[in-house]
Amino acid sequence: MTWYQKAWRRGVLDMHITEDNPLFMTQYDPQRFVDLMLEAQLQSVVLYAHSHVGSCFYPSLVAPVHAGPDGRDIFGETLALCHQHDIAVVGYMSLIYDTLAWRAQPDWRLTKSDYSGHGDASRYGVCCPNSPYRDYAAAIAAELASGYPLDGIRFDMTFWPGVCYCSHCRRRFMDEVGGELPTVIDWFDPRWVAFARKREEWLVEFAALCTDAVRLAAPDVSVEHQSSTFAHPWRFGVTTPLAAQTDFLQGDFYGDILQGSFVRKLFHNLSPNRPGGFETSIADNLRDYTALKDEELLRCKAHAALADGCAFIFIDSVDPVGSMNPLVYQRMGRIFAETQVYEPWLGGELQQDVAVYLSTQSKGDFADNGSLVSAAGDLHSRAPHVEAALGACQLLMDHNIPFGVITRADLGRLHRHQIVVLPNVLMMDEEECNALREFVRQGGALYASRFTSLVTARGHFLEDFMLADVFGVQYAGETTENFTYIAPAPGQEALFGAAYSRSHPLGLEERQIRVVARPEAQVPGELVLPWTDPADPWRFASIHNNPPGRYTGQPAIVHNRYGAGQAIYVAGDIERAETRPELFVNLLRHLQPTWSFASDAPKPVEITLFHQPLERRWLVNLINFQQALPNIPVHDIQVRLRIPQQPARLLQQPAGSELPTERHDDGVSFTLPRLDTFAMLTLEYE
Amino acid sequence: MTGPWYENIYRRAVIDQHITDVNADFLASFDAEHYVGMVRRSNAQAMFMYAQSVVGQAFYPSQVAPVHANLNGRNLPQEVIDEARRHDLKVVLYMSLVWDTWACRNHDDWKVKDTHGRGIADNISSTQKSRAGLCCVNSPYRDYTRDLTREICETFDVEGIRMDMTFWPRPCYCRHCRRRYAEEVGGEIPEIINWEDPRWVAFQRCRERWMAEFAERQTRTALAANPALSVEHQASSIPHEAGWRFGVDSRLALQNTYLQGDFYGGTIQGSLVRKLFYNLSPNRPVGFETCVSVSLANYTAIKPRGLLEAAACSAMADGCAFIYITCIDPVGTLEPTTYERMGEIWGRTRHYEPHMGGELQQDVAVYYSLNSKCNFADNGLHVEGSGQASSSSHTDAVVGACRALRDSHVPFGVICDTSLDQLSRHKVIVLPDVLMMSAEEVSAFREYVRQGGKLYASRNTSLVTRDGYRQDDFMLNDVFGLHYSGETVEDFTYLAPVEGSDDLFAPATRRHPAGLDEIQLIVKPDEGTTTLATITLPYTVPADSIVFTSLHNDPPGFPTDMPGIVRNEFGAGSVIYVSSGIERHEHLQDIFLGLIRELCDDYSFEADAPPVVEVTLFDQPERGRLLANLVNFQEVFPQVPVHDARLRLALKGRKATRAILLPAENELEFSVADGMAEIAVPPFETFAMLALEYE
Repeated sequence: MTWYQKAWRRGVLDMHITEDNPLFMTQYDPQRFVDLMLEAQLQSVVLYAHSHVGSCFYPSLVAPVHAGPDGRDIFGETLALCHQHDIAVVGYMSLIYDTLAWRAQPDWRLTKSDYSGHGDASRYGVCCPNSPYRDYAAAIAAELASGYPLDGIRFDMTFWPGVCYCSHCRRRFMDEVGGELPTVIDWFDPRWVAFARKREEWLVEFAALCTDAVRLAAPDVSVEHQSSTFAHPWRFGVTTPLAAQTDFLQGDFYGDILQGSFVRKLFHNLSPNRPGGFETSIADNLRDYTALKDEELLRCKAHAALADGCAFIFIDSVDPVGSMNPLVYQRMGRIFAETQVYEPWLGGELQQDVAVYLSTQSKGDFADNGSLVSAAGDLHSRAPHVEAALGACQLLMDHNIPFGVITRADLGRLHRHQIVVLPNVLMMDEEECNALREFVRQGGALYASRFTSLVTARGHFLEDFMLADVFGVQYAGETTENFTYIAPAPGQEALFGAAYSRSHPLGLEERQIRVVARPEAQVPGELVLPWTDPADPWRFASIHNNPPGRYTGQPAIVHNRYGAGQAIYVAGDIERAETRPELFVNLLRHLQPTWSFASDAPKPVEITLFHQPLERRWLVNLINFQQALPNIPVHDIQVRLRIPQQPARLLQQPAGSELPTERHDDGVSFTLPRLDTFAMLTLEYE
Repeated sequence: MTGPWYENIYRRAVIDQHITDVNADFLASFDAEHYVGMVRRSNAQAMFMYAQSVVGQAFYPSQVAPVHANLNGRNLPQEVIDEARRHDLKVVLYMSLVWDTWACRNHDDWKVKDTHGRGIADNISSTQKSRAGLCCVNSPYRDYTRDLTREICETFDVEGIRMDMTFWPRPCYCRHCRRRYAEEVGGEIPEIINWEDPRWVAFQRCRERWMAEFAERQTRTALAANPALSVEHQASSIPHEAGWRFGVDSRLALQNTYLQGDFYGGTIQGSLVRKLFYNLSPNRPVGFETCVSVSLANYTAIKPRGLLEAAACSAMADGCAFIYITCIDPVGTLEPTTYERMGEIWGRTRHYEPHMGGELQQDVAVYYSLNSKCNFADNGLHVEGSGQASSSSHTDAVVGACRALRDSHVPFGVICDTSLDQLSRHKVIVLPDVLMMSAEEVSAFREYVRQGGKLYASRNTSLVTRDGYRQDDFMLNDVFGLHYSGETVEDFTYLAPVEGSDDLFAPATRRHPAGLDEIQLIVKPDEGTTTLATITLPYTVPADSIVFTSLHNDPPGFPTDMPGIVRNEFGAGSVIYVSSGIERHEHLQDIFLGLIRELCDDYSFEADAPPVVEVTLFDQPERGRLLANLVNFQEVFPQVPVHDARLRLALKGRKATRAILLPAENELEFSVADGMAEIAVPPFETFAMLALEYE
């Protein structure tokens, strides 16, 4: 067993401290560090060898050494003490973000299209991985890996902070694609898309350079690259091949409950090894590090990580002089004392009846087409495909439907899922389409929306969907109107839920794709347009809105049989907005009426189910994570499990107390009397 | 019933009808029987029928305004009134002010204009295209609306008239405004925002006065035509997030019979505005209005049942009427589902209405200065430029204070300058970064404290006059017990407890003090004051990108002896002054509450309930009881029911005789200890109403 397979409780102490005051880092005490880590009940720590500032906390011969410790190797001392106490140590090294390197080497700087530096007027100096910086970074990594008996190395910030137009990037593009780097975003322009793909490729190559430097020096040391970026917009240039450069995925997140659930499920499938790691700061935010998160919030986050079978990692910040706040470690110690009792039961295969497909090559926004890369504002911050994927996951969580998040790395094992959801996948390639087609042909069910399979991964807008045969439709254009409606076809009202009808159809604040359905396909939903064009300020129907008025007779939802399977195509990404939950979920239920589990648990409660065949049991986790904390306890949750085995007994862990169950032909049902924050149950079978 | 029509009417309906006539089918299917039938299906008691809309067209044969082309001689309001009368439904007629597309398209001289003389609703740029026409109340448009108001009020026999949109959409630089400014202030209207420039502030005060004057003229016209009418002007603009731009202050409230407004924000917005209206409205109940759809733009998407029910119950908990807004279909039909959903909800909530009423217990009053809805950070920016703050720092502080008090179940209310003569009702008054104050306000607060009141004040409070004159010292320096001495250079600062105050700040300590993403004021305390916290500055200046301490933050490095929180005794009262707006910051909520409890820890009620449950308490002496409301209002629906809530009500020397759960009047057990009656609240999903009878 590697260190990370048994370390569920991990800590990071941020040490991005400069030398701008002679007191800085002079009071750092390795023994104090270890004492506090023990108080927090940690099994592993991320220890800073080299920070974003660019200086090292060990006597490097490659990079500048921080003056505060005055010649002491505080990194080595701390490492030795941690090992004495059986705490695994991961050495931290910052990539790309290196202020001292940036200041010293103008040629290494990440450069904007106007030749100004991305790090100008900022504390953050960012270096281009296509510049000679790459060799500098690899040399530090090799020095670190060969110099210390580390358990692992963590490379932070392995992403593009901005779009780089430095001489090195220009030259590489010229050599590998030809011509100048494009400066206008256009996802339908193969040259722009070639640039985007090159950035992704170059980043993976740089990550491999650093990973290989470590592996060459210390083959048994685990390597991680910051993994919080897989769902970030295209600008970060991070795609699934980056995962191959890391032994396990771990990343820091500061978003909401949905974000946490989503990324942990992504990590479950994408990580080369498990567990993945879910990381967050103990401070309210990194900028205000003395403001600690509420203990209830940390408790929920730590247990939510458990529910998804993930390690939980908290991030603290060292005081500039090198001291630490003991309250942080006392707080985390209390929380980890609660979580560690569940660890013996963790593991297994997550049941993911529905798989939401995340295409990391589809994180752009077609609405940006024609805009300059240098355009101000949040032009490139939206990723409609990711929003749709997140929206789908929220609805699946809300309705207690077992789900997972998959990527192209899972194309070879789609058969694990009953339904694959393709949420407005903006760009796809032949390999993806072939795998999905085969999945349906073999009996799988597919849900797809909007642009899915209409644009290739190389940026070619096609005349028809690549999956037109599977969807049962033919592409016929896009609506002019940017506020549109979907009305139930006669007899299909139940699919839309009680709130919508033919006369009051479901509104979408977006254009829809116009399609023609194949004769054999069914059409449960019709495209309805507003009375007037919403963009016309002069001629309009109603001042505040754009009421539905023109029933087109054209399909907006198409249900098609293909091979042994079936597909539903929707012309708008209804899974994206929260105003249309019933339709999306009802369409999935139309494809597949029953799941591995069902429950009446309210929306703040998420249920996860893992199969542990070696232990001959199922693991059921329930996490209550409400927006406002402390949680209101939930009473009398009914859960129904559908399993192929003969159930033996249901135990609530860690106490092992048996819960009564009701047997069914295909499984059991039970009632959980009360859920405060977390409950773990094991269902043993014969 | 002998009182005015609105007195016991808690269920009201608005059906938006801003429909054009660009299509011959529009409104052609309007049927008053169907229309009123839907309103009845919703269990509404009163309805707001459109006489004229934002589009500018009248729905009756007007002699003043253009008539909707598809009426063919019909009089839609009268048809509805006739049908409503058959079912004992109250009718209020709707008309739009300022927002009038027709008037704007046909009278260039009436338009609200920008600094370049362009109509702000015209297609100036791709981002400023608007369907709505915006008319200036200083232009001859005011006479047009007067005539229209007179016609409506003389023509129809209804309970009231509602005038929507009585606010400035933006600062207007039309020739009429320029002329008035030149006459009343002198010179040109300034274009640079500067809340410490008396000429700019004079413009703002003119805008507020002009709008109140316009509203007064409208109200006077309506009442002259029919003195029995209730008159309302849209009141959501009073606390609106647009802040100063709407040019509305408490004077607008006086032109209303009762306050009612539509709101689309979160639960704290609702709670705050209802409590503001409660104190500001000339009559009660006030009205809290929101749309049934998820937004006005997406009107076929209906809010979840649980959300609508929680909104309706929240209104009841604050003693308010609840008003839903729906939209008519362009052809004139109404969708039954919407009305059935509201009918179900009101079918349940109506049973609570006979128990409503009484005096809201507001031990702590949060002061909302309607002349301070601005942000000093905007000083120096062009009125039409970018970079203006999206909110008012004072309003943010008011919201933060209310959120903290609500979440911790402290009985609170929201007051403004109309309550200055009733300050003694409150045990504590919170002055949350009140940016501008008048001499009258200063005197009232001084006297309140002198008489024994407790005051919490933060940051700029009393440093700038209502006319925009920055003072050398706080106008309330004698009350605060300190003097203004400047501001920190650093815009990220810390508050550290002094010895003996550590409990107030936990988990922050002197070594790890509480951080604030803002500049603090530097003050010099008088002798005899008590410093509760001092300012700690970061090692380096946060704005410096070359010399800095830590990449992601600006750690505390220099503890100072500059006071950050000071307590002073003045007259028979006490004051706590804080040099920053800590109440604005959610993570400092506990410190703020600790300071409030330092001033007073003896409230009309206490509750053991989750923060999402708001508790309100009304005293009904004429019925010999206290009425307690608990609303469970979560962000996700359906909600998780609340078990195990407990309520303690202060008896104030009275003897509790019976506790009951309303409306069923089931008796509840209670116990008495330390002058409080404690009741275990039975499990509830959204709303619980309890009464504690006393003698």
